[in-house]
Amino acid sequence: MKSTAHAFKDNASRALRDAGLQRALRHVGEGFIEKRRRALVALPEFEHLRRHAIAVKDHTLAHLDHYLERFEAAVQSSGGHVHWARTPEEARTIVVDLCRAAGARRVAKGKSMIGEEIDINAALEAAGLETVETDLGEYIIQLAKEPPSHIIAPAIHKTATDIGVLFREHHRRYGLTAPLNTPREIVDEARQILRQTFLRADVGITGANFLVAESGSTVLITNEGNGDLSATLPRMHIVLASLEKVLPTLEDAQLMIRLLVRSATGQEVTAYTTFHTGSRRPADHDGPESFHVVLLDNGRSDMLGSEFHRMLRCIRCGACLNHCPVYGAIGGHAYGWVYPGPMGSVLTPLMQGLGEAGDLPNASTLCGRCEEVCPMSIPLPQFLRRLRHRQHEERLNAPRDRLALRAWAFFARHPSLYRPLSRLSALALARLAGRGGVLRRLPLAGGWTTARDLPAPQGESFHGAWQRSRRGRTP
Amino acid sequence: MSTSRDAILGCVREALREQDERPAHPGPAPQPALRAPALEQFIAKAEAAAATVQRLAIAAELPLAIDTYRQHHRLPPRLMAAPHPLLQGLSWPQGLQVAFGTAGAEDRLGVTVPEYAIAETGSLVLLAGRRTPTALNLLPEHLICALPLSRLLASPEAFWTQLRRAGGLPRAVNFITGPSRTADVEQKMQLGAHGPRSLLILLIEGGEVLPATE
Repeated sequence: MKSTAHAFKDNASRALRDAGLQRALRHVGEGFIEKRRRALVALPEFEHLRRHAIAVKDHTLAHLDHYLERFEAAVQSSGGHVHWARTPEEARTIVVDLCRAAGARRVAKGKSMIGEEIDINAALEAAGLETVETDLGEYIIQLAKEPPSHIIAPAIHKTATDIGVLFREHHRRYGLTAPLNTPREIVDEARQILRQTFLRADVGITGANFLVAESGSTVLITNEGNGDLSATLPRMHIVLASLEKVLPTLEDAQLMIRLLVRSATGQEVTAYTTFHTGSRRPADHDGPESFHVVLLDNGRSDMLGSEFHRMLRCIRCGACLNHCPVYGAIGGHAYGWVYPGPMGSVLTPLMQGLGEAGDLPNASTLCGRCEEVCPMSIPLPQFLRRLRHRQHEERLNAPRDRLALRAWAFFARHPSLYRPLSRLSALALARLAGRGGVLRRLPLAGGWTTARDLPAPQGESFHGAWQRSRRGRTP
Repeated sequence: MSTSRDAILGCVREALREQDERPAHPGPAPQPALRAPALEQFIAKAEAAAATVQRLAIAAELPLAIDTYRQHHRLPPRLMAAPHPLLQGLSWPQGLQVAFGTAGAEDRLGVTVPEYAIAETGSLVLLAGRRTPTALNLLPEHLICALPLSRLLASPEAFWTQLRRAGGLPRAVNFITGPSRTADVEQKMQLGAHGPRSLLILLIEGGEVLPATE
């Protein structure tokens, strides 16, 4: 998809004013956070598993070439094919060519963030292939012509009422006339319509949560079963994946699954966890005749060994989104590209450039909850700070911001100026606030004070208070 | 696209060459301990995932249990059964049409035989193959799994050990835990998204439970 990350500030303001979105965002807190908390309480071994999983991931990344080659060889020996794509364009071409060579007309699509990254649906449609998203959340946003707003729950920004209206508009051609009000009615309607998609599709495209080097398997974790139907009924199965998803062994994958599912939805396991290995075997009753895995790089090999190396540990659970106060306030669309929240604020600048997405690393309070809940302990706040630093080094931030930073840096390096000045401004602000103790309006900071009051300093600088207390303590 | 392959692997090797330390694999991961005896935990977890568990003494009781379920749910007298020896050897009630094979769009009731079950999570392990077609796990509205108790393992790791011993992975290994579900509408869990709306596990006793760990 085309990035609108450059318009982050406008996107965010619009999101804050969107009453419907604000109502829908409440479900993030009620749902994901509490469910994850309970799942962790029920597994006292979680911390231990987390440390082990991080060691597995760090080992795999340090030997990535070896494991990718092993994975490729194992896929080939189980009758499948591996295709390597440096860029989204290459990946799109590979997928469209595979569909064309198979004489395909219809595609049943499972949820895939790599699919979003390479904008595969637009390419398939342009090639004349009827492409239907089969994950309920993805189906909803495909009808609404919107991108996902969450990597696990793509339609979390929509209420049941929104979806009911959307279905009535689009399903009239299937004979839907009655209004749909409840989640139950919506799920039943989608089930009935999408069933035909699975049965008629020539190609099934799914994502992969992990790849297993040992066996050449791709791991698919879903609750709906749509990915499994897409991988079983059509005559071709294409898996969209990226380099960092590979793991050495089946047991390593099992360990990651325990962490991923708990961190993502708070379940112990989802309804379906499937290991797909190659194409249909001679004795099988069903399954695709051909099996293809597309391995996307798209900047990942540049991250490897760089100061953002540990970002490649990410297993896309979404816990950092769910626990982020900024994501909770503005939702996923404001971030402007495929990956929202803290992980997106690191990935988007690295994949789309800091010039495009420089606002994202700045849209964080650096409260640290993301790092705390990350099952891979990725130092997201540190990465956000590094990106801010890089943005300043490369002169990509606004001249006004640079000037302000330069001025502050000058005073910070000159304590003999800084101290009297900070004492003066603390006094002035306290005077300005008067007896209320808060500032409702502030010159040069109107943007800040339109939405909230600034608590005024008490009139004493930190240095002043420090000196005073030291004098009090020394005998 | 061998050129892209070479370019990607070249970049990866280049990036890794500069790494001072290459951490070793930490070895086998710790596994969460079972909180209860294997069978007890299996039943509790399966039921927590909205599956129904019913215990039978012998396999010969399967036809009656299945037909009773069918009548209770007012389903037509048609059953698609996996071509598995455990099911093929049974005598089915008159009036129930039983076909052996994989499911199609019109099949509302299916029965299959999981290769194993996992106590840790209440999951069933279904392998694609001659005796157990994969579409049968997914297409019917009501799925019944006939599970001999002797197939219960403690953990998924125990299953992988068994499978390696048997040699190689089938095309699909489905771990299925409860009926299909979705929370994509307002985070409210609904059963019966695309797969079965309901899952009945018929536990057949008369075999001993394997030890909890390998």
